[in-house]
Amino acid sequence: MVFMEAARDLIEVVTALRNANDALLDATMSGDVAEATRLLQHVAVLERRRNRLVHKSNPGVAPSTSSYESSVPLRDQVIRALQLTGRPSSARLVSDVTKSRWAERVDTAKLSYLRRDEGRSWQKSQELPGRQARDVYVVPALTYDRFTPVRGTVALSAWPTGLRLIAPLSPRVDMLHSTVALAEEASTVAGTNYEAPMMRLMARLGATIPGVKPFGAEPQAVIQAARAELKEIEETDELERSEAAERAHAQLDAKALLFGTQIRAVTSHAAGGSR
Amino acid sequence: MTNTAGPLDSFRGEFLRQPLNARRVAGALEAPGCQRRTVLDAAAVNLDKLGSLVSGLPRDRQSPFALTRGNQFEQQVVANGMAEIVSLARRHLGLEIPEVRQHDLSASALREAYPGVTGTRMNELRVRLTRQRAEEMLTEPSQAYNLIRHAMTRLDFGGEIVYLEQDVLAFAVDGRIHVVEIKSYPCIDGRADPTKASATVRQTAVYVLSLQQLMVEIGAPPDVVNTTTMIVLPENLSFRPTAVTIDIDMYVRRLRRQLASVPQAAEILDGIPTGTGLPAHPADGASADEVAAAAMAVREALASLPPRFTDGCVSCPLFHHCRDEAELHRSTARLGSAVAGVCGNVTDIAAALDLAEGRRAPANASEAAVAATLARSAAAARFAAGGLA
Repeated sequence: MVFMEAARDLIEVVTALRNANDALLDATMSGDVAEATRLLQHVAVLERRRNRLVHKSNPGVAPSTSSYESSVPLRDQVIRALQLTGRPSSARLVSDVTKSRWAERVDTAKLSYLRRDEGRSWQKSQELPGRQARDVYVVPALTYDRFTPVRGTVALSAWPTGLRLIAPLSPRVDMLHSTVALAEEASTVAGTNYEAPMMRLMARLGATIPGVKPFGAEPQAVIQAARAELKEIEETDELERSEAAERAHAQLDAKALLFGTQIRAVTSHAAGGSR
Repeated sequence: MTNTAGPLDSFRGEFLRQPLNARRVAGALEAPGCQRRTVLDAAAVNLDKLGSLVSGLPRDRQSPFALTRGNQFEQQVVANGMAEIVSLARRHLGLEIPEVRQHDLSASALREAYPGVTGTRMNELRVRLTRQRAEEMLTEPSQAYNLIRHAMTRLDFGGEIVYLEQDVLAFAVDGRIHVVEIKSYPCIDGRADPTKASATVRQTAVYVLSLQQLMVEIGAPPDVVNTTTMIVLPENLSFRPTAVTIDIDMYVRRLRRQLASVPQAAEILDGIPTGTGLPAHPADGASADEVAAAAMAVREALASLPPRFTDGCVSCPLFHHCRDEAELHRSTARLGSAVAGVCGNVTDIAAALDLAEGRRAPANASEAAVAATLARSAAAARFAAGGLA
């Protein structure tokens, strides 16, 4: 019986895997580096064998993602990057930050799907009272006048409404704040593998701020220059954003407040197209 | 405005139509006085298809790699709140620190707010929004946007409405609007390829002119639109943006004169036999005979439109056709603008040679002047050749 044989093989591999994992735990606890390294490789080999066996007997099981892709889900990658930048960020910045800080690739093409999934998930959590709502959702940043999603810019639902609205000065203000956050992060990861890429990213963003030298700027210099520019424009931006936020709270329902005004068919009159 | 559309449309007939863009309007500057090109442009004929049909050669297309590179560069320059543009505009256009209020009028950005609006309606929407933004600049400068991405304006080209998309408009609160154009050919040691740079300048002149017309429409002085424009290019062989500013006033004025003469396209058509028009473009799977027949019909139609063959014609899709025609007629234009200029109203190569060698007496005063110049040149050429031998 081929099937029985396959099942026996699988049981054998899984048992070996369990033993190897236990041994790995012991080795790590006792600080035996060489043994831990060997066991880590052994576990990886066993896992691959186990996966092959499972797929052979159940071809319907989805194959695990290729080892070249990040194991961190896109949603977590985006949330993590946004928590670092602290401000609404373009897909491009999310991808750059993830690459520099965590050496992972973000599939930006899938961001629009993520946005839609987040919208659905939020909707479900509202409809089914028993369902646990998530702590935070990835939401689009919204325009400050019409409250429609801003193309390719994401934010976190936990942020105050004003922060998620993009007023005329906001792209620059947010970029400066993000640069400050990235410069601070670059200082904290000093001495690790992530230092060099973080410094490069920070220097690239910082080079557009007056008073920062074009190459190899120090984090502290970038932070100071960014704060100096912020001092001139931030107050106006905060005012415009908070006014817009007040209007938003007065006009919009809970869903529109997070995901933007409902997409509706626009008549030719509203679009101003027919004349 | 549309009185020229009738005859021009019937001239184009069933041939493929291609809406005009800035590049093509700029082409009007490259071929000054060419009635053939003027009519074809005003009739919005697809020139690329026409050129490859009549010459039998496929038209050179821009490489997809070059296009990708261009898009990547543009994306990078406008990323992170147009950070690079902000920095370059402060340095080169004198924008102040707070002048960073920005707005995106790209079709893709507006689609989020206006779902279902496409094509001409989207263009009209963008034109209307650009106009509103421009009005804000005049009425409430401190509240207006300083950097507008992908603004859109209209230009009337012989009755044909051309939609023009500017890469970025930069507005300084003291009342200046500058056009910013992003290109991806490199600026090496502060110098760019002159051919490409002059094409960019002419294209940018079209933007400036249409913006000046917009200003007049909303009752503002046209010189609010500054003729100093900023061209953003990759620096040396890197992808880092750098910028140059150029005053293109001369080109704008030249273009304005030329545009004013465009409606005469209908008059040119009045002078040719009625019923002259382009054939339908052969379908994809058409036989060689059908293609040849269509090419012949196109040649007949073109023959009735007088060309003006000059050095600027190289970039025109009809270049090969007009060059062969000039050669066939033994026209001095075939030898380049410099030679044709010297020969004045003696347009035939054989006649010019006869005058130079003294085989024919000049018929009038202007021919006598040409003959004298040519005779001197011929003597100099003989002397040079003899001296070398």
